[in-house]
Amino acid sequence: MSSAPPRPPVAARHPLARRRFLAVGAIGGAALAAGGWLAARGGGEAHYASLCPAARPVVLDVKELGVLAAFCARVCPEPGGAHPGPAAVRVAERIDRELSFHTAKLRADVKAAIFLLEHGGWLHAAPTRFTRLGGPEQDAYLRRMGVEGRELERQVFSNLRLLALFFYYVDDRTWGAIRYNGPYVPRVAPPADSRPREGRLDG
Amino acid sequence: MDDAVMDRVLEADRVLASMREEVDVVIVGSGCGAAVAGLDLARAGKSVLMLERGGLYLPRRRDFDQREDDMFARIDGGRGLHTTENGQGALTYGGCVGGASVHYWADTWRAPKDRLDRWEREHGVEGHTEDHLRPWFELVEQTLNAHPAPPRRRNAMNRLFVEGAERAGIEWEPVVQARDDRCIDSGYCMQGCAYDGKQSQLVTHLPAALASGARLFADCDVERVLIEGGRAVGVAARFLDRRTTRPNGHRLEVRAKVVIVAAGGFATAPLLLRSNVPNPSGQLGRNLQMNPCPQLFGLFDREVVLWRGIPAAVGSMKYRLHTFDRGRYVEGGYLLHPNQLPPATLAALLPGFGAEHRRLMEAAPRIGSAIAWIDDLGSGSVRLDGEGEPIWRWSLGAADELTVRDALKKEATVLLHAGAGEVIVPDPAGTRISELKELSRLDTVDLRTGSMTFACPHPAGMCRMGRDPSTSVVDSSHEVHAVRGLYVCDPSVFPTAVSVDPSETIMAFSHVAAEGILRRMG
Repeated sequence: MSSAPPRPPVAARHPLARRRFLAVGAIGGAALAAGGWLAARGGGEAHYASLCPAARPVVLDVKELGVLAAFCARVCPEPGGAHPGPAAVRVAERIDRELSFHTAKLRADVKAAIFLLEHGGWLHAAPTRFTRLGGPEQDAYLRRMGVEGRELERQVFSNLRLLALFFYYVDDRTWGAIRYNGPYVPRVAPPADSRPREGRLDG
Repeated sequence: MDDAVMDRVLEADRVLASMREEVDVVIVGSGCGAAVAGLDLARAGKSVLMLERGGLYLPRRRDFDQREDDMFARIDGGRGLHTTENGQGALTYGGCVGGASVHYWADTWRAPKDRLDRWEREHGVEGHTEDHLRPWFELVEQTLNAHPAPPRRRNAMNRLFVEGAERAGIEWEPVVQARDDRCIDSGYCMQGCAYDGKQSQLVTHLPAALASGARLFADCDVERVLIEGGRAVGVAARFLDRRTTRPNGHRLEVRAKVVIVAAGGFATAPLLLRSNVPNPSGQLGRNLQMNPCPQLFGLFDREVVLWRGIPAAVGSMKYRLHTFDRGRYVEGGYLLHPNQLPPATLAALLPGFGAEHRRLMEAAPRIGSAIAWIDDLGSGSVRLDGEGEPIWRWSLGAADELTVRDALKKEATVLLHAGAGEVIVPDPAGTRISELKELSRLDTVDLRTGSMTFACPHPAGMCRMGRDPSTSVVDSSHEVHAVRGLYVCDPSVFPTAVSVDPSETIMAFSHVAAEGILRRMG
């Protein structure tokens, strides 16, 4: 048993104050902090809620889930043809649910990544939030972040991109679009270990 | 595992109160290292208790449903999301009964003689030379039904790899597989075999150990090794609710004459650090090598279907060793294999986003891939954060970057010779190569942190073995130098990476360790 005093939950500390993974330079940190302060001051709950309607996030808050949903909308295929699109598959909510099985450290990293995604324009003297940009501008923003961005921006883009695409294409409604005929064995319902953690959000 | 041994298994949903046990040997883990040691010690009449943090999943319970999300959640140590601190290495390790053998590709390799000789020469490892290990290798291969896959069972990507390698003048060879005739070439090896055809620990050493009297507690998270007066005397653990992965409120204390930690190459060192194991050499938690895997994709004009069939029935050893000329890197330092990826993982690895990525995925059945396992020259480490959680530090060093670039060139060469119209690089720019004369572009693709991620499936080194207590963590009997009665039986003890899949070597080392432990216990 440890005699050390209890520490505050990692997620409760300022997300930019921890780990090299999220370390930014002093100027960048100040710019992001200013952006975050302005964002908090500016509210916008309804705006974010509209990006992922009727969602009940488990780990993320409404703003974070909205930003993540906006990101998924640009990264995953648009609905059309055989593609259901990320909103129908509820990719952002799948990611949120997955986070509930991970450590406070990993959850805090993802939250901080979403914060940087939304307010990272401040690092380039472009204060408009990601979710306030139009579609083509969002694509350009993501391209700059993933290709030309500094290490931290590339990490954020790369890791969120991975989550979005993985949780889109694990859904069997997407398999027709890529001509994947799926597993050979049926999915047992409920799965032997845990229905809640993997539970389909549409059923 | 059949009903005859299931009464020797305890899962957390049947634990109704905290417990205390007293045994001869407690083993942390249930993978390749743990299961072999458990079997040998139980057969010798010792009371053995194995503790596995993850759950027990079995085909007859229909647990292996071949879905990527379900199976990452059940059998991967980090549910597929654990990475090095900088995100550059994706850690692939076991998180269920049977450990990494449940998700591995079933490639079966003996540690090469040059590597065992180097460990003896440079680290003073005794009793683990090729001559010492030969009978154990033979026994493991017999137990695993290890044999090359016949040519008729090579999938399209394996056949393309052979075509491409032959046209490029790269020697290749069949890769020995641990499979029996229940394998139906489904391609879901990484999701856990639903047919018991892959010879993981679930169908080999574990049931044999249980049949010999060993017991196994699943969902049991060992928090620390108990050490009294410089001697390991047991472990303290807690049971986890499998549905939530959170503690269920019930604890376990085990008192034992011998403690074996076999939690795997990523998890053993953090457990020893959490247990305040004395670390006079400073080497505990250092020297982490893990075979980072660069991979390229090729777009073919015919179907490859990367997710079906035996993953790596063939490969090339030609470049296993680095070659240098007067100290300057020339080439090599990796194994070359056909790759196998299920669709969602493929999607996550292909470059780009939006419409561009959609077009690629709509061509997914025509996408092939080659992969290399880099024999690291650099190394990383692990430390604990304030909550006692491990943080793995590793980045691709300058020497390994040269190896990665050379491996990428060889992968591209094979893919282009196999008929790929275009080679797709998973870098942020989505670099494409369509002719051999463009290979030099791979000298400049962006490998920086945040730009390319490497799967890292084969950790080694963080409890390295050696004669000298000032430079190593365990001695050649696998006992921790600084703590009597505490042994390590997993790839953490390898002084370096093995340069091939390590599973057979882990098992052979565990046979050696168990033999020594039995001798000492009397």
